[in-house]
Amino acid sequence: MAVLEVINLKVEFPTRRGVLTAVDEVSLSIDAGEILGVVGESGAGKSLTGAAVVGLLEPPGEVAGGQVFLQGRDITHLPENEMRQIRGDQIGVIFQDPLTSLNPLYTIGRQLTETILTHMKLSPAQAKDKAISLLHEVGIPAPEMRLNAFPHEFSGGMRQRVVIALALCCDPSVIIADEPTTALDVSVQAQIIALLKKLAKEKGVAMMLVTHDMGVIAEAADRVAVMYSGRLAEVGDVRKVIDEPKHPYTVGLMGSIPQIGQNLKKLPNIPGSMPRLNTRPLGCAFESRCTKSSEICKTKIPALSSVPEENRQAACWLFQEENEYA
Amino acid sequence: MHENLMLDVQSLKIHFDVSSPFVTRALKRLPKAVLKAVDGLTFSIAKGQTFSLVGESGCGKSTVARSVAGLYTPTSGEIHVNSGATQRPAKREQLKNTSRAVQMIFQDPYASLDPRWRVHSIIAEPIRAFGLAKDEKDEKYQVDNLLEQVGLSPDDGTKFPHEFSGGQRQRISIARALSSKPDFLICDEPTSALDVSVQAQILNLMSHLQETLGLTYLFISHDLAVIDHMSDHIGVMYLGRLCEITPKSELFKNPLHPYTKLLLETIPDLKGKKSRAPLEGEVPNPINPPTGCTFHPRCPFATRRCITEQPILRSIGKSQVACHAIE
Repeated sequence: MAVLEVINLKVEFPTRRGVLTAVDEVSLSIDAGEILGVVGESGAGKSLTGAAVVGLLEPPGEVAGGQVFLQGRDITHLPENEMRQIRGDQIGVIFQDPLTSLNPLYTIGRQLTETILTHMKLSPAQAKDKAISLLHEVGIPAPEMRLNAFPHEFSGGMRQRVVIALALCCDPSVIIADEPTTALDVSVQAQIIALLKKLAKEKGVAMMLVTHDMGVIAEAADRVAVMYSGRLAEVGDVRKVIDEPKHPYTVGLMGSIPQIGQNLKKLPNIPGSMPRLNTRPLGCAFESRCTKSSEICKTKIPALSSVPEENRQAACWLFQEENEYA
Repeated sequence: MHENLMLDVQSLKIHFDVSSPFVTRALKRLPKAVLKAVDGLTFSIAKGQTFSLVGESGCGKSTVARSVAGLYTPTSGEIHVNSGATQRPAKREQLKNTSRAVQMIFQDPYASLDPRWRVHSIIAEPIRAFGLAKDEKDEKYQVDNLLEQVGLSPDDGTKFPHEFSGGQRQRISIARALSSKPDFLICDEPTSALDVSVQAQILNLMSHLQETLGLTYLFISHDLAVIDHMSDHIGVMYLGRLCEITPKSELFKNPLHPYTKLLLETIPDLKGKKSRAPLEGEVPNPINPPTGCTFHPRCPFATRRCITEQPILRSIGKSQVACHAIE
């Protein structure tokens, strides 16, 4: 059974000029030990999906529909105090910028033990031991010495390791990592990805990796969900999606990534840009940029449905005309 | 200086004084702290070519870019753009001429455009500053042309920056940079803040402009795939020094410096065929850099000589490399 299951999630922002739907009909499931990559352009709703799962949507944003199941338990509309128990205990969160997600005034030892003591029945001495072993696990050298250091005394990569240690404090079953490597250099990025992969495999953590970087997804994820304008465009095995993308958006996205040794005169690109939330068309949001659009795309939104291939889904009329007429 | 060089940088050094205040220093008996952001850089760019600087954050790429644009004063060394100086004590007239010829595109299009100015005024500012328009009508004509050149419509001139997406804002930045009819553009991570699909649009626009206007680019990025797409020559920087200067074809086929090799290995591979070997360690503190070759603590081939003696750039084949192991 999937550890984390999201069904038809819908996130809305009520504004003075009407309700904006930022995330719509997003369904995902992640098994233990699996890394699901969620990729998309800025504004595609990938971070909001992550935030909605852990109940950290900034007001006025709200979950307007759908359900989130954590190990079979519906956690969609839990009261805040129960959600706080789940966050940190069963769900760990890693944010993009390690400098802003750590408190600059507390030593990292205090931040780690605070989290451990909040969620686990341990004595302060045991909590300290646990903190040391966590820091050791995420690859921080001489953890006993580093416990008394402040966040500013660490480099960016080391800080992100501390944040990962914080997320791991209570052996969560799910980790939501929102752009965990975006603020880091490529060389350090490789170290962090290797660490995240190791944790998912060894501890059987279900991980949702939100990023805009296809390279990170290619390397870390088992499956990938491509988001466009608040909806899932394509979901499938990471190798399949990268090697033979089905949805025209994924095809364009993959083509526009420059690669070494390609020697192209001109990079293929998708003309135009993603529609804003308030100007979304009636039909498929990608229609105006799509080279394969037809009449139906302008009027009806395609649902995510299986492509004739194993474990592969795409939301495009190209693959469901038959279902439509049946 | 050679006729067909656009930029010539000779042993450029930029040091920043980052010491604590005098009293603190006197009380705690601290020495003066100097951050050597750029420490002896020599390179040149031929006209119409693209030279890229690549390296990890903190290696001094942006400092080089800013000093070439005249935004930092070098501690020592010389910078010549199109045979003219960009730095004082050059004559005022001369400075004006070079600053017209050198323009810069910055990384973050959200921070580099004044939110209270209309797009027309943003683009027209350099035209006014250098007196390039005969009258208001001519100015409007030039701005409209520039907007079309970068793929926007002349009507967009009346809008404010917040009405545009990231990619469109970067197009406005490019239009502004082009408005003084420069010969040389410094592009400091122009696509790092953009999504890949938009990045492709901007990179294509930049290549197109280079072809039609004969521009020379100093291109800065940490993304090797982007560098590969854009450059003719590449300089790899590490801690304020160049460790390798090489034609594009050589860098990816035949990297010489150990740092370059390791940097190439860290590129994520979309095809997933190779697993990348994470480069151990991180960039050391530039206030107190390692002795000798600054890369030696992370270098798998380091010998005793690397710890004591600093390697200098030597020509090997088509490349220049600063490494003791390659001689």
